[in-house]
Amino acid sequence: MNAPGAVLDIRDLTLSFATSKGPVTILEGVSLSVGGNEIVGLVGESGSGKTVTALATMGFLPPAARIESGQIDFEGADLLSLDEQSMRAIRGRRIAMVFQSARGALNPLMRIGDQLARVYQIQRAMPQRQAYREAVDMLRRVGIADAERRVRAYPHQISGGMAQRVLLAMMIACSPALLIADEPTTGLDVTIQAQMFDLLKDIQAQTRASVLLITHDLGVVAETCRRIVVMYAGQVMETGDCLSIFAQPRHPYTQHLLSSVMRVDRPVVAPPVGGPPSEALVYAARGCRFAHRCPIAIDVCRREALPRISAGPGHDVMCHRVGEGYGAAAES
Amino acid sequence: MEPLLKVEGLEKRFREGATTIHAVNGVSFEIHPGEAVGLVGESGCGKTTVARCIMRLTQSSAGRILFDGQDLLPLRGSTLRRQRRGFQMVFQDPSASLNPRFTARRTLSEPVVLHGIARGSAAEQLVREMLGKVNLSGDYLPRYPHQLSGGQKQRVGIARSLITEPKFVVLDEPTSSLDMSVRIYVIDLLRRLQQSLGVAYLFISHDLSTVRFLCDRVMVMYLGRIVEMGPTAEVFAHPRHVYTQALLSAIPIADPAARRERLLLKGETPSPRELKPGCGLQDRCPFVKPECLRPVPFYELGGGHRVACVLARDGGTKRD
Amino acid sequence: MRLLGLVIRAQREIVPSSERARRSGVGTVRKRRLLASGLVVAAIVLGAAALGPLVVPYGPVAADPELKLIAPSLSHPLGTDTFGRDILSRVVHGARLDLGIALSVVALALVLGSAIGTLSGFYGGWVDALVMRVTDVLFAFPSFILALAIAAILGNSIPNVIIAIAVAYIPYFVRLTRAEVLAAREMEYADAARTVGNPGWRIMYVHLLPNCLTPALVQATLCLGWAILDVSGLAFLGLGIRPPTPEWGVLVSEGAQNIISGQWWTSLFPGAVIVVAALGFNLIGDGLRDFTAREER
Repeated sequence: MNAPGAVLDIRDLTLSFATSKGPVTILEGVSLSVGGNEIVGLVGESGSGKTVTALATMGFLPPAARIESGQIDFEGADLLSLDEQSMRAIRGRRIAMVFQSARGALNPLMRIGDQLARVYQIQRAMPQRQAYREAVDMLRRVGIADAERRVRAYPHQISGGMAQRVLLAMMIACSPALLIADEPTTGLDVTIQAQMFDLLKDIQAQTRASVLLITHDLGVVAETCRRIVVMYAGQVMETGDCLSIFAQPRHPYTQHLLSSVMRVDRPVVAPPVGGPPSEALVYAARGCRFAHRCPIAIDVCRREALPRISAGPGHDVMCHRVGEGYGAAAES
Repeated sequence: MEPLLKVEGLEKRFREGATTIHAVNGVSFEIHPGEAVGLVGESGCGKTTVARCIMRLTQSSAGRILFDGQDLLPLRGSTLRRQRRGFQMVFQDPSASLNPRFTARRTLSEPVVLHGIARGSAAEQLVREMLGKVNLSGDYLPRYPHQLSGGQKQRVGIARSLITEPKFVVLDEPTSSLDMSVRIYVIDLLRRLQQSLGVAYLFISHDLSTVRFLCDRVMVMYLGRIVEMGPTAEVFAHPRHVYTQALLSAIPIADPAARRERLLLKGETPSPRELKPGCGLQDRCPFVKPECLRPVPFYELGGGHRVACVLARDGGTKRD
Repeated sequence: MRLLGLVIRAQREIVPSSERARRSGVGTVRKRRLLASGLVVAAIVLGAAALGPLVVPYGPVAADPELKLIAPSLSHPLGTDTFGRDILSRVVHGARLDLGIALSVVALALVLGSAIGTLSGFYGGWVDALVMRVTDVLFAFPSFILALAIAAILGNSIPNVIIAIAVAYIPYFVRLTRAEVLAAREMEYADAARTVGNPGWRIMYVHLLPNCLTPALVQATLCLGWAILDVSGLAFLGLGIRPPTPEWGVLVSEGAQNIISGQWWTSLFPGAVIVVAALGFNLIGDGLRDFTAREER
């Protein structure tokens, strides 16, 4: 989708990994965009390729990866064509990424205040004392109480939730245009998680940055994101705004996903039957990779590349059956 | 009906240098035959420690654990091992809980042989049947854990726990490491197994939605104590303890149209080192009163729903 | 699953693609060549031990005074010694001896060391403290000196030499196995083994130990190299094997007196064989260590 005005526009990205069993196409024809001042959720189970997409954007792919085709447009440049020097200028300053394990991303030998101050020193060429003051201020902004005292702590002395806040502080220190958050609350308690997402929404509202939130938790997506991109096995299945996708999921995979969700607030409907996919089958397939599990798959699904069917303004479904009026069953 | 499992005043203290950590601080509850009870709470609340104490993997500091009327805590050696046949456990990480050098066959036949239930081809028969009950064919018998997916490994773990026909199984976050669509498959399997085999569950989880699906009753823990317990639907619909309310309101709901009122607690969970008398939530509760600083008893709310919160006083009778 | 592993690994090592391409690839080729050379040497030694005595022209003690102290030549590639014995044949006969003793030493140390290490790591407490203090004491001595002292105390025979050297190596296996067991006993499968009804000894030796052997096995190949040196060294000093048995260390000591008079081959060749054999097994050990360590990353 050529999205004018999009901050990040990934177009038709296909990339493969070299493995001992030959090249495997990890991502196929992935297209998604993140507009200005919005939070977009990238949803999928493990193996769906969402993390690889983020890594491709940041230029962190392993040497075994090969970009077969596609572009990643960001602020007018194709990130895939940039050299390491140019990417380094963009990372941290224009695009920032928050990883899953916050404590693992922090330097265990430096106090958190110093680490944060260094970001200001390097990225914004601030003198040391000023950088330190900014650091304390930023920590307060991300909700760390008693910031003047906590700033002297080492990463192993703070809790997981606090470490994640520090990492967030480091990432937004330079007011990047795009923040990629990859499962930022894995392993955190649900009350801490709620605090983190409230914080993320606040920060986004203040800085008007664009956020690509990668998660497998549909509840989080429903409460945080304006738009969703649903991925399965390296392909994008459906994109659109949150409200319409939750109310009327059109793609069979999205429907399957939503029906697998267990909710606290209502009694449960009988779950869908069927085990998890066989990976060998999936990655070898041409055409739609959900076909082997799809209840309404037909021959053309396995043979031909995915179509893009518009199911409403801003709502695209990559399914051959949707055009015929199938896949319209509402799940709420 | 006599309870199958009765835990009375369970305590577990850890010594760390000069300080004492009160991981479990006076926990009491009952589980009846065939009942599925959930134990929920966030990290550090002591739920895993309770499980380990019941399973005799960790030494308890005080209290009694009555299984079928017999106190488990004083048991040792071969007497304890014989009893283990009746209570089993499913662990959280299927990759870590299966011996990487054991085939599925060996993992499953070991308990059968150890307890003298069957040998040789009779044991093989039992193993195959059990595997079938978790929807795995005999083809999986010669496989090693690294040849199985996460969901398959966990099913082997579940089969292992049920193969000695126990009356009671402790499940410690059995689906936390699994993918979403696999998760519901395994939970559904657990529910069907429970109903067909009549086994009682203690289901430990931080994920309240799975507890909602599976458990008849639920207990909420915070800082080593149970703060609220009762029928699942009732507790989730009408939580009476402030912590339960905060917990439930923090869970994101997969419905963007749903209106949420979030109850936020101040700060973070204090470390179990700094244990004070009275309610564990006293430093964070927005409604704290002077009575909360003294030990808080359980208040009965009817229908098995009880809560250790002074705010419930107005809606129920006091119970020591 | 492997693809997922690749992706996960990609996440852990956040290094830009260009940089990583430059780093990897250079060191590994050399390492593989070293490992290959080690294997070749070991194969030769093993071959000599197994089949050598059937192939070489002379028996281990076949002497011909007429032919004494002949320099290396076509009929005697390594020369002859003071008694006119063909050095090549003696070296080949000696291979069986040295290797046999070295293997016995390592086997003994491995079995006892890992059994004690497992016990120590599993139970902890005073058992562990005791074992640790004893190994500390043993570590305080260089292994050769320790073996020398023990052999001197026990008496001069081959079984005693085997025991003496094994005792010097046992602490290594104890420590390695104990470290692995300390980690393994925290794993959930150890808990599962207990809940299923296994008694302590089964948890230790049926469940844990088989999963904890890898570092010990790597150490065993290294010890094989050291053992060859230690056995020869002790024999050189007169402990264990005595002349006229053609053990390598004995050969070196027999030939040592001839160096001054210019007949260097009587001592040098057996010495060189000792060095090369020990080096070969060491290279295998190193290669194995790299190989297993790399997998764990």
